Amino acid sequence: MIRSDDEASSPVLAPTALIELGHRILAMTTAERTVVYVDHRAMGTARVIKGRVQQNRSGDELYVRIASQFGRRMSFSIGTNQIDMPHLRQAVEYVERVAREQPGDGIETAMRIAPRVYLRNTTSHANTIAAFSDARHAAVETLVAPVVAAGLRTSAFVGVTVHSRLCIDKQGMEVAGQETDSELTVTAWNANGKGSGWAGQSARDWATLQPGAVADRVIRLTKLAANPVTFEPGRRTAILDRPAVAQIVCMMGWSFHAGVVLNGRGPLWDKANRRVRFGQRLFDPRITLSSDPNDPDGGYLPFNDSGMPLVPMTWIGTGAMLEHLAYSADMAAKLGVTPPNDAPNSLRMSGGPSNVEEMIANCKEGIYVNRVAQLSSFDESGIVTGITNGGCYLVRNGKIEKSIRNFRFVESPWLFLNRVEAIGAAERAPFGYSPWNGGWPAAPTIVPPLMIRDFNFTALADVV
Amino acid sequence: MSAWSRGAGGTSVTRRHFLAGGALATLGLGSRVAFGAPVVIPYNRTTRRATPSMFLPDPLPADELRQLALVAVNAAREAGVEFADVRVSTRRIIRVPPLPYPAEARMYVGYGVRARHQGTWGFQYGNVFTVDAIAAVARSAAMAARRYDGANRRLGATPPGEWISVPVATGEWQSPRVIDPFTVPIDDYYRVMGALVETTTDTYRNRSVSAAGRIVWNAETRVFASTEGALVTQDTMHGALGLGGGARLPNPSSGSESLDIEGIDDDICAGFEIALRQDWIDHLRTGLDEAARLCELPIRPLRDVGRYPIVFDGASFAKIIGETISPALDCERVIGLGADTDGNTFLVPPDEILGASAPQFSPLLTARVDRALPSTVAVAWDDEGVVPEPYTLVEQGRVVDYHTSRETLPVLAEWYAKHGRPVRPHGGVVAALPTSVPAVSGGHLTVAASTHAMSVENLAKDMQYGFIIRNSEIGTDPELAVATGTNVNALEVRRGQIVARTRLSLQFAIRPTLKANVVALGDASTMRTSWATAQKGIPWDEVRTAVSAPAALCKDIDVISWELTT
Repeated sequence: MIRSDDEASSPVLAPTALIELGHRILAMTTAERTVVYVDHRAMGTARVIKGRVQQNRSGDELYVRIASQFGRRMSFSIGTNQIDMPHLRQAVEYVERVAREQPGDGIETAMRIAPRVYLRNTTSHANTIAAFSDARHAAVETLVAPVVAAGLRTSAFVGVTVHSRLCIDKQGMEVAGQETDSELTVTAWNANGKGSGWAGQSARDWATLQPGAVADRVIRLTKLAANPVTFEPGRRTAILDRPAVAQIVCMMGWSFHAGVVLNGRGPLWDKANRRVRFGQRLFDPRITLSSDPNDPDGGYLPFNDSGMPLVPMTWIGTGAMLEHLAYSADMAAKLGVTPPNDAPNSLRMSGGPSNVEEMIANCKEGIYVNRVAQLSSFDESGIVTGITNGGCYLVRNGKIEKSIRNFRFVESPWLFLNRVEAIGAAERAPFGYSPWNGGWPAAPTIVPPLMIRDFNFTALADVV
Repeated sequence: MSAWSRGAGGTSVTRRHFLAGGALATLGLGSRVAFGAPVVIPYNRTTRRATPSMFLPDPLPADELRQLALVAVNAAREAGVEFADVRVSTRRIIRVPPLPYPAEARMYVGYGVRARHQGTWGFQYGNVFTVDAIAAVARSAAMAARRYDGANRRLGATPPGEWISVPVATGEWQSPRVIDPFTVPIDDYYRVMGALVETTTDTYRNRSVSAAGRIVWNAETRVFASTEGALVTQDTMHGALGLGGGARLPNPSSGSESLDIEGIDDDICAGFEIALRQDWIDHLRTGLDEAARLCELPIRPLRDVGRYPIVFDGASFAKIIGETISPALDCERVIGLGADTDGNTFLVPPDEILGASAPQFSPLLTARVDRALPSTVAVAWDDEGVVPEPYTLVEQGRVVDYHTSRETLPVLAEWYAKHGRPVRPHGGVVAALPTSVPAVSGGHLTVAASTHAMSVENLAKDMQYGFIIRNSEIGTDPELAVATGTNVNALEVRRGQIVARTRLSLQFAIRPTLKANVVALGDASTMRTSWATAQKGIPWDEVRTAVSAPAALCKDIDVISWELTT
């Protein structure tokens, strides 16, 4: 097993309990191969709208899946959410009965994962689990009260979540882990409704969140946005803060999937030369893209929902060269590639020595973008469109001059990452509402603020 | 008992026999299970004679669902809240793709309890079907409502509007079906598929046209109960024959691309009998004929950006209306529930909009909402226990009503009262899943077609140069100011004739375009149904609105190019 923080008051079964459950199920089985998968998720969220807690939502969902295989017959699986012994016994008897009747053209290896060496599970924090009971409720007021007191209209979100997962079989696979996550975001509008600001924090460890600091930031940004003026769109220098960069970078992960690239699709396939873009410099050479289950600023479970080990990967390495694609277990075995891995849904972009203040100081004329929203992709080339939202300011002669109306933009990270003027320190960015990135919680995305030349702002956007 | 603990689990076991391996095997699973992962049904001599229900537990009897719902309501009442309601549901799904892909069966179970204390809500969900578990969830929802009511007081929040009272709903309703798809042998599903393949191969052998399909059925028993005494049970069945096809078209830049034909992809509130209709083969042949004809057209890259007349086919125009007018008249946007999520609306304040002397949209546009049969969103009660009523949203361009709920209706109450209209919601609230927070939906919105004969070709016949957009996706910004279509399938029209295929992007300001640029609508033959989806809240719940609309000719639409370089 892999170690994790167990918590007596957890809203989900702890990894140790999942392993015990898995062994109980396996002890009932007679099939040559049985795999048990368990996922247990819980979340607790609250939304503030116009300074009032308008929605809150909590709950948990448990799924146990049991897959059995006899010889080379195809495997058969069922799921249940009942974990008392009588129901589990019935489930095992049923799945084995049907599995025995399965036709014999199955592939044995479909249910085997090797090697089974797992990294430590570092994504669970007792503070976050503890926050389910009281702290998350108290944080709502800490977050919102200063914004209301500042005379601003506000919407806010506070959420905590915990997820436990088990994959265990009779051939020696036994892995269980747990991940926690939390986020605070707040949007504020000036009394005249013309300008807004957005701020947030997200972390695996609830204790690291600072609602007071988030409130301070949104008040500052919103007051700065009191009377936005119209500024012509066009190709302009953009200073993208982390929440803006993260929304875009998050959409790059699927491009690394070998199944996509080797089918001649996506930005990592060189259409002209009909090959993968290995050996080509893709970005500004200072930029790398990687993912690591043990990333201290995010990370993820060190195994996927099939029990396949997930390992640190450098996708875009030194010199901004493509180093790896993500091969599924089957594909990796077929092509003789190691290690297999999932396509990254949690990316880290390397940071640099600059910071937003320095970028502004060094900018003769440009746009500071606090966050972007409403992203959608055009096609598989990697072009995305979206709008600036939650703080957009004109920078002139090294200073923020004034707040300006929001823009629509059309850009591709695969292109604008070649136009990098400055890079700040990489930190995990909050997301807030972003269904285009899979909903809440979004996978941890660790990015720096970036200064980009000729960013393509295409039109004004009537968004406040 | 904490809200998080699980009950000991029921032991009631229903037994079902099914044919497996030539012998009778017993499905000994209790009916309280949730099949989150699909049961894969391989196609072989044994399973072809089996039915989907043989691979799934029996749905929990409606009586037991009702008992659980009442337990939740009582627990919330005892916890001292002013109001609570609960949705408890079991849903079975069968999905049959074309061979060699196997069929999949699933079962979902779940419930959600909503409690209101002094106007503040608490919501809690779960999927363990025991008395203890659902009672704990209800108590937890009540506790959250009370806790956040305290927070709202300390924050000095404005009290919410009145909770609109409605007649107490009781009863049962079953959507119509002749043949239960879960009792149909898997083989019959594949026979339907086979007929489709036969249609394709017979008619289009050696042509670059192909057809495919999938058949999906959803069957749900949902119980709604409230502390007001409501208790309703609805048994709905929806089928979707995703029978379509397409042409693999050569494209110089991407190698090839798929051009979808107009298949049969409407979600239909009915049983398996719809799969046996004969007319869908003719429908498919018509679609495949069109795809084959379009294959002959040359592909031309967009020659020049600019403002052009565009005919949107029924599916595209339905999408536009569903993504623009319908959400703009959603009262949740009016009261600001989407301010930091899916967005706001320009149609505020409602009393000014409703009383405006000038129409908000083109006088050609009349839009009505109705959840009655045969609509796929038909129900007898919505997810607040309100009986749906038909209503007109837009009459010849004038806004005459909004989508409402018990929570949001107070913003219209004064205007309704002033105009002698009953202050009642329209019954459009939907909890996408029983574990979802109920939200306002657009029900089934229908744009009235032209009464004059007007096909898509007729709409385009006077074009000197323009485009026909087929089945395109249109997106909007959160303020519903601008609509954008990216890289959509289009047909180039010159002097009234379709001369080429192309792809283009377009963008238009929603309000002025739908007011001044809609030149003509197609007739009833151009009506198509599409879906508009809103992702509401954090974490978001998808709320779907069915929209039927005719084709439409619009002038001066911005066709743009977003070619990028390093």
